[in-house]
Amino acid sequence: MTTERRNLGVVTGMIMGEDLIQRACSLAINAHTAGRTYTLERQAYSSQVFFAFSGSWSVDDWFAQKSFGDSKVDLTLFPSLRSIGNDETAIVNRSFLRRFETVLRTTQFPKEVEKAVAENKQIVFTGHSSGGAVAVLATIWILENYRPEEKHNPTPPLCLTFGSPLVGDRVFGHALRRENWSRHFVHFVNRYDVVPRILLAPLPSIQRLLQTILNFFNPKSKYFHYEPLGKSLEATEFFGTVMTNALSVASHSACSFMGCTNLLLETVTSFVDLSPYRPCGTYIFCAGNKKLVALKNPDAVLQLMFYSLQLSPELEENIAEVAYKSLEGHLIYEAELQGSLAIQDAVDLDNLEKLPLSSEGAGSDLMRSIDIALNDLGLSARARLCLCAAGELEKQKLRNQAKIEGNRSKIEEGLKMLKGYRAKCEVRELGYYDAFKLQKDTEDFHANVKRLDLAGMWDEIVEMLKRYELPDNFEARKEWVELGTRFRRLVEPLDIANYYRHLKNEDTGPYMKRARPKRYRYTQRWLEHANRKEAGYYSESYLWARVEELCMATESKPLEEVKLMVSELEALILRGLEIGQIRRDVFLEKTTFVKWWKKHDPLFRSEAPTIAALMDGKARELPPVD
Amino acid sequence: MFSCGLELADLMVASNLLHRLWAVISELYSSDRNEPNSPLTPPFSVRYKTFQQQPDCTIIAFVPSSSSAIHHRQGGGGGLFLSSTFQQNNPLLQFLCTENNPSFHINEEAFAIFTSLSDKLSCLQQQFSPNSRLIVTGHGLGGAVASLYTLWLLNNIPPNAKPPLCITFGSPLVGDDGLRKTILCRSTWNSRFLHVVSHDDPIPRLSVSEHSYKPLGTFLMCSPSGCACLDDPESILRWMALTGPSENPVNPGQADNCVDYGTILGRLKDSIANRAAVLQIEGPPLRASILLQLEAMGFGEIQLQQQQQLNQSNLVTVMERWVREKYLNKEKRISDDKKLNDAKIYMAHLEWYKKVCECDPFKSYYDCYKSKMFPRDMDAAKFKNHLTNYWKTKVEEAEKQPKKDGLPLQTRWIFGGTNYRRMVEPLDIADYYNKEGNKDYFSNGRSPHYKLLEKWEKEARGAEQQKNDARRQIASLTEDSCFWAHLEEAKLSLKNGESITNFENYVMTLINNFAVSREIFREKSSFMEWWRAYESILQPLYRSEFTDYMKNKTYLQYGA
Repeated sequence: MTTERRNLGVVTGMIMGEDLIQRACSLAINAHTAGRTYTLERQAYSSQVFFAFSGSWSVDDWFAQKSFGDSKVDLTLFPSLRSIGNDETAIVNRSFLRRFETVLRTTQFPKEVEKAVAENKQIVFTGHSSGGAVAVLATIWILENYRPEEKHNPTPPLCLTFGSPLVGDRVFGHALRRENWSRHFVHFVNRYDVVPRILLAPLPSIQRLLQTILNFFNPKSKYFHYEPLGKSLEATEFFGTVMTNALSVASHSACSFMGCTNLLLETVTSFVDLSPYRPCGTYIFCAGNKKLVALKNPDAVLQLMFYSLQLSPELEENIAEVAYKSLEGHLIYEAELQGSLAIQDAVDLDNLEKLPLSSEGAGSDLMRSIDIALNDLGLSARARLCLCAAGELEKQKLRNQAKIEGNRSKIEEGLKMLKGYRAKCEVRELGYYDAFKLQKDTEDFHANVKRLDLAGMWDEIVEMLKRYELPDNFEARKEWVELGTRFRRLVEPLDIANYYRHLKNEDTGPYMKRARPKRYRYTQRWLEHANRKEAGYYSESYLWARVEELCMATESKPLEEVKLMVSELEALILRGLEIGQIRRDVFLEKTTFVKWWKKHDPLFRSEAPTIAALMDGKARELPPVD
Repeated sequence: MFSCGLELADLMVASNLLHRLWAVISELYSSDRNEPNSPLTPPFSVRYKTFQQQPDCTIIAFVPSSSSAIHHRQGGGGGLFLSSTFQQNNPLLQFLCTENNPSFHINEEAFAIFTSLSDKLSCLQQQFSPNSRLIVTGHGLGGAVASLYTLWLLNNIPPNAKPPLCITFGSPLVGDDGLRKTILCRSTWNSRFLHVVSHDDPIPRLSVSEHSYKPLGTFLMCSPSGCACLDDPESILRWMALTGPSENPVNPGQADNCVDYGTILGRLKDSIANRAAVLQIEGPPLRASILLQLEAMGFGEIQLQQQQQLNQSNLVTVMERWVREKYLNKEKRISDDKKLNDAKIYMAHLEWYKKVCECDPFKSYYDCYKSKMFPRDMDAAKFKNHLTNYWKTKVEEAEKQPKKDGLPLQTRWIFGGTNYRRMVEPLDIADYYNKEGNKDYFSNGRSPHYKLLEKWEKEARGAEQQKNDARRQIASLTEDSCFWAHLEEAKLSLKNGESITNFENYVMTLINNFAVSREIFREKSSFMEWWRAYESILQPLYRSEFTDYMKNKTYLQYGA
């Protein structure tokens, strides 16, 4: 961190001038009264196209049915919004999703986006209030459908929101960061704006007052910006409830990232209603005195959502005043930004783990300016400690990754050894699957020990992923997807051989169903995700499990069922050929597969023309193992 | 490293759970007196009531009957909180006694009340739906009864039901270090208790000084400057000793100087909106987070300095040590995965050893190991020891878990354990019978961890109902890990001229189920040698399924 004050564009990594932000903000606010779900603004001379989404303020447009109005995302619409290995689907606010789906279905939106892309314009999505939430979903949609990384000379889309409510859960943010998409999102939040915090409260706790409060924000309502409403007891009560719930969520999250060892935390979690929503993207907090503070760490943003609302004892504020400010704060973005943006810089809270806990601890100039920014947001020592902890967790994830990286050369070495083993087995005319299953030679035994060695290293990675203890982008890193794929293709056959050698299927059932280790399930999903293929596309590495099950089924199951299995195997082999992963050693004379085929030859030819051709000699044309 | 006692406390206060419970307790206090209550005469009695909140949350609340409440306020006269050695033969809480922890002390009054209510309370349990979340709560002595009832529930609820959560307000401690230890053996039990205690409440402190009472679960400690959650017994006890009601003795005549937790909770909730006064705190994060907690617990800087002057070892240090210890334990759990992988590698070595032994066409690997002819046999003994150490620890840990939570080990562990048992126990049997004069392995030689692994495996199979379809292929490892011990016993029986029929039937069943490994039929295996000896003394007219099978050499086709 060389300079503490940075141009906003530098902070976010996006080209983003003052004009653009100001323009986006006024378009977003004007969109509310334009009478359409979104307003398109394109001018011939400009290199940008703006889509400004209007907000809506009926309770149902915020909380659909459930306590937090949440639902799983539709993966056909947003295939990336999940965790890859863990395969958890992200959760989004259902009302916002529904609103976006309506835009997609009933308007010219897709066409207009297509046109803007064709003209190579930069697309800026913007929205104020719940319009911001729709802008977020629109941006993800365009990122899914027009991947900037694949086009020549792409102009990355940008999403600017002002006082937007939260949209998605932890997995949602994780997915955006994994795809390196979170940099497209910049959220402006007034320190005292209650709206970005509303979804931290469960509907039942605020239901009675919510519509009344939403009317205050609705330009079409007669209570829009109606001062007596803002200063009412109800407004104070509403603010208090939202704040209390924000604290529940923030302290629960803080316990997790501080590494709470008290298991009471888990116990209590099932007895209290906690909002699933989490921030993601870059947040720019407007401190209220024309100062901007930027930060990206989602855990830290959540803490700020609560702590920056707290009343400061020195100013002798009372809660009713702050409650009013927190409603006002939602409606003054244009004015607020006008002053702040003129200064054109923001304090960037990176390296959170080094934050000064108090003014006395701020030694350098840099720390002093950060300390001032923290004071501007009204952060107590407690709040600062929480931010430190959030930063520390991020550092820990990087350390975990470094540890995993340290195993890389050992993994490579192990793979090299097993590759050599495979090549030698080919010479033995047995194929390494069957050689390993027989475990006759010392070499087979050494291969087995190496297999277990590698399994240990990969299981460690999987365990960390399960607990989200690696950086979000780990599963999208090309070198790991590639290494994971080589590992899976080379070693999984050995695991299968080991499984059937010990007849574990007698206890646990077919390998594919319950016994397949996570290290292979995860690495297969990595590759499928990277190449955007459907689940199950790269199943070639469990070819041998299919063969084993087939051998057994031939003896015990009705012919029709076996034929079905044969055609499944045929499909697997076709796919394997297509991706160049079926090698000559599968069809060596002494393998289980060939023996089985010879025994039952005429029976299955019609189900498996490809296998038949390979068995008849075409296999000799396959590439040898490398 | 951080200590998150403040965050946990904030979660409790902000989530509204405590307020809901206190509302229920207040309702019970003000409701009429016809609620079921304990038949004991006051002052030792409590009332309780079940409340249905939301469709899926049940709350049971316990409060002292009015007269005993007054008694409490008097500060508890002589003998009120004497501990009694818990009797092993008491059926109610007998499950708490374990072999390494046969006795402990428990609060006599709370236990007497709980015993007097036990019939009603166990009926009550039948009514809870397994899908419903259950909270047991109580105030004062009622809270102590709530704790005991929760312990009983944790042991008695069906495995599919959700375990209860116990939250008490201003309750006396229920037991001593022995009780604490036995509860800590159950990995999740301690985390089901939260005790809210105010800085000026005398009741929770009654038993602190004179007896060896130890806190259970987590304490939410409230002071005028905030609140914090701790689960370290030493820090909790220190806090209790250093705080407490002001020196004025409680006036027995004043019934209303009882601590009102409703007011305390209200105050805590109101303070959420306000930022704490700015503290100038520096230092490493762990120390800083602990200092902030102490502040919330009512120990500002001044009190801390006084404490140091009293020359007591610093509370900060105690709390720091606790957090560090917990972190180390957490890391240890992660290294368990590594140990499991090492165990797998040792198993691979033993499998290979077995394979090498099988190159000898005449013997089984049991006999090879027993003969100790090669250095590799000594190596095998080394791997065997590593594995045995690993599994003994694993089984010991699992055994401490409450049996009611279904199986003590996960299914995948149980299969691993079975594999281990089948591979390694024959070697132990070989070592056992290698010693001259050793006999009856089952009563004298078999390590308890094998017995448990076998028992759990059977239970797991029962649960999965898989055993119905018999094996289709011959076991590569004999299913019964004690096969060779049965054989050694049969050898002795033969020597002593005892009946062999049982063994015959046993082997025949294994053969029919494909449950025995083919290696036993190798020419010079102990089994075949025994058979030849047996055959030589067989009565010419004696016939059985087994002798036919052996005489006709049908075994040559075994599994072919």
